[in-house]
Amino acid sequence: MTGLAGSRAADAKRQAPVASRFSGFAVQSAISLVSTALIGVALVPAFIQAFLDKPLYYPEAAFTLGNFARLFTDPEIVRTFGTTGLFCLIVVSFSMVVGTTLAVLVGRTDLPGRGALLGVLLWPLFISPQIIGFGAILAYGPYGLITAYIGDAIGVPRPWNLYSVVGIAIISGIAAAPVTMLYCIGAARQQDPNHDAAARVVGAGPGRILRRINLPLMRPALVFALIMNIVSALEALAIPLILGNPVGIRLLTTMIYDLSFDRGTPNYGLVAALALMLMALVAVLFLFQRLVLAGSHRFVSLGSRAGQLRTLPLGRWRWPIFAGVVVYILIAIAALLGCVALRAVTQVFSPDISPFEVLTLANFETILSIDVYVRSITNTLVLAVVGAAAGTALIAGVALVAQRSDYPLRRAVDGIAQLPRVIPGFIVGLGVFYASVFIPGASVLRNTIWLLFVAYLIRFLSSGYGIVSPALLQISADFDRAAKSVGAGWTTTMRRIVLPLSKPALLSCFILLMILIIKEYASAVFLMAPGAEVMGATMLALWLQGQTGPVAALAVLQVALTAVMTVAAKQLLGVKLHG
Amino acid sequence: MASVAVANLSRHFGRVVALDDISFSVADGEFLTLLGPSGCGKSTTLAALAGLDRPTKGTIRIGDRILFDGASGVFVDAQFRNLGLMFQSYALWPHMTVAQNLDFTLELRRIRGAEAKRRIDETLSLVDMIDFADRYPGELSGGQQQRVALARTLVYQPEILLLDEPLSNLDAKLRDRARIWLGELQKRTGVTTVYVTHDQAEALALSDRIIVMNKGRIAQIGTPTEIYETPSDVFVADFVGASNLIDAELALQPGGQATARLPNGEILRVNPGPSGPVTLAIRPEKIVIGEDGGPPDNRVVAKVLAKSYLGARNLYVIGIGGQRLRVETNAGIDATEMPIRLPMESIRVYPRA
Repeated sequence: MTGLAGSRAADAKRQAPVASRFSGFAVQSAISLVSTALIGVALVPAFIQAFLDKPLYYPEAAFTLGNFARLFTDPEIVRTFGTTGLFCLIVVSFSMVVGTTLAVLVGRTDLPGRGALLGVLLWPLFISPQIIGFGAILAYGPYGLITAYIGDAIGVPRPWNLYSVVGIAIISGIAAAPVTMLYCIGAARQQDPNHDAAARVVGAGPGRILRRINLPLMRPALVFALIMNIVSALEALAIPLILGNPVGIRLLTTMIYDLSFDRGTPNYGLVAALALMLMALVAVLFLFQRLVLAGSHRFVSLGSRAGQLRTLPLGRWRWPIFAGVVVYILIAIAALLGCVALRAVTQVFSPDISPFEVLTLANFETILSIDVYVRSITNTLVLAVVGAAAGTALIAGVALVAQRSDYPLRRAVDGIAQLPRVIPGFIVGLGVFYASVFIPGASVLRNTIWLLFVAYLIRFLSSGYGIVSPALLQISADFDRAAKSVGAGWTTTMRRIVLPLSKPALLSCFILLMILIIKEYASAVFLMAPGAEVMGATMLALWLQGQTGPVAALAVLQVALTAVMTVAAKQLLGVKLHG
Repeated sequence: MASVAVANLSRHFGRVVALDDISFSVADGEFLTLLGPSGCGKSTTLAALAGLDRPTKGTIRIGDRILFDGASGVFVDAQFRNLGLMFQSYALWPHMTVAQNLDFTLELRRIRGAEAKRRIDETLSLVDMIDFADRYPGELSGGQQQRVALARTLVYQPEILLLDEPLSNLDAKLRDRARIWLGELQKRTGVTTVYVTHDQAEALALSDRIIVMNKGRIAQIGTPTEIYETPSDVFVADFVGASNLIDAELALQPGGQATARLPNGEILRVNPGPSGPVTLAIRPEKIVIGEDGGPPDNRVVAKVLAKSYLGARNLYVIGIGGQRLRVETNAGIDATEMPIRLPMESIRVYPRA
């Protein structure tokens, strides 16, 4: 060791670089500033607008509380509250019951083919709700294929009415059920097998274990799923718009949409006030969730994960239940997507004409030859790649500051990253639109896809953060401390140690953002302009104009894109998007 | 290499006092162990030395550098302290090979090329891991990871080596070997070492000096022999070597002698101490079983309450005066009662509050 000892004196002078107490402070500040500015863009103009009597770009706009007063006095708006409440109740009940049941069946029982079933049952997650809406009209609408077949078979024309609050809510529930499933299946599977074993040893049967051990342990997941369901029901726009608007059923969201588009002069103040109220409602729900889940350590599985989770035997109900699940898939997923696909390859779509007599590729030719459609496809693809890349970088930065730094405001940064979860998508779009009017110089972005880019960064900040942040928690902080102790600064530690270790999570985040951007419509409807079309918003606009054929073709394309991406992500990158 | 001087160090977490005004020093090249149960403040002290945690008050000097001074607000961050810290979890960066783990620390010091290569080879040879330079940490056994972790802290020749329970993740047999190896390595490199552990065997075997900590304070500082043979209080006597503790009443006799009266009236001769309620401490292996030709004092007949066979030794739980004592011996005894002797010189007397 003489060699080591000899060069030691020289080393003392060659110590790690100049001292600074705030290693990485500048970088951390920049990340915090960017994320705060983005959220500010989405919220501040909308907030100001809510208290103005004229659009905020009018110089003579004055302060008023009239917008909020009108919310509670206008009989039309008050009626909407009731409808929205009923709608939410049905959507949430449907989604919770169906989602939890399916999660337990697929996650914990010996249901035949449960792996494959799970994949299919989760499909709606990756599909834009408006496509589910289109499918619902084509299959179960008054002139829908299945409505007609069933009607003929039982001799009752139009045995149900899709265009009712209940009908709209059930279709929305079908779109929401996979979310419940996703939250619950993780909880169902992650339970310590020893809980089961312990209950078995003391003499509990499978049913009792499920009722007394498994379901109670899933409570945090159930509460979380419940809140997320209420939030997504409150912010649902596409399905209520497609199904409800033609017959005059209005929810809060569709009313905001109408107020900002349909009437001659958009009443931006009222729209903003409605939007703020919607957000306040969502925020209260999240607060409630925090309260309910305080002390959730009671539900954390303690101890080792040794041993296999034994599946609960369904016994003689195994095949009947399997049949039930398959029927649900046929009715709720296959029929909807099948009808959209059929519509895409037929000239006319009517129960009176066999679809196979009118097969055509004309719809695809249309979307590949008309400028607006082509642009919306290329714009979507550009935004998906660029947006997902930039979004992942932003999310990684935010997560590192919030989780892996001594930055004084890191708690606030964490809060900011969670905030977009409570901002309904179209409000993000509205906010960015307001900001583009309000912020000097921002108008150059108008009518370009870059305004959408900003909206997407805001909109999906929480979604990506939800993947990256827990993954960071899995990486021991000892790695950072070790790097620090050998002389690495914050930026170096993040770049060389933590980021490389979170590569799988960052890849998952990137893929998820691509999928979300491809299917996104809610934040895009206010920002779409000639030249800046995207698939989601184009489909919605064209459907409302009655161009169902090209819309169906676009929908098929969108689903195909998403499917290719999901499969590629799984096969090539080994990315897990759920579970 | 350098000495360490810690003075009046305190750390408060809200209203919890994790470290309460502790002072100690470590001489150049010394192996000092912080020993104590969990929550005693030993890890807090280590984190303060490493610069990973900012203490509330006090000063920390290493060599002639002031690394922390609560009064003047000086705090040098871990990044700039040039110390070696080995983690209980080893914290080897899993995406880098063994050599890359070492090289990263040199890169931060702008030591590149042949010099870096030479240092890495030299250090890996030192820990017998040169053949594993291109492996990833995930491909190594626990013992090998421990060696690499130590190599990573040595390769850039830190002024001080800080070790946080470095052996606790190894199984018992490996731990014994690693302990001997670690001791030899420290002697060879001569690097000033602060070692944190809750394992008294490690502390006794490795250290030049031991600091026994309890509830954020220093209970005793001394050489392993001092700590074991003359524990300064009941806590140290109990924590190091697990003494039998016996409640008694001490009475000073004419002629400077003292006797202790057990609750059942049994009288033992003990070393003088303050009269009144006391706790007597005697180590399990110091209790003599049977007739050993020693002095006639402190002989009692004890009931054998339980026996457990430890392989090399037998452990008996015996009852005297209504109290249970542990006795370790090589002898195998089948009787239900046995004569024992509690040698006066092995009984330590502590006043009882």
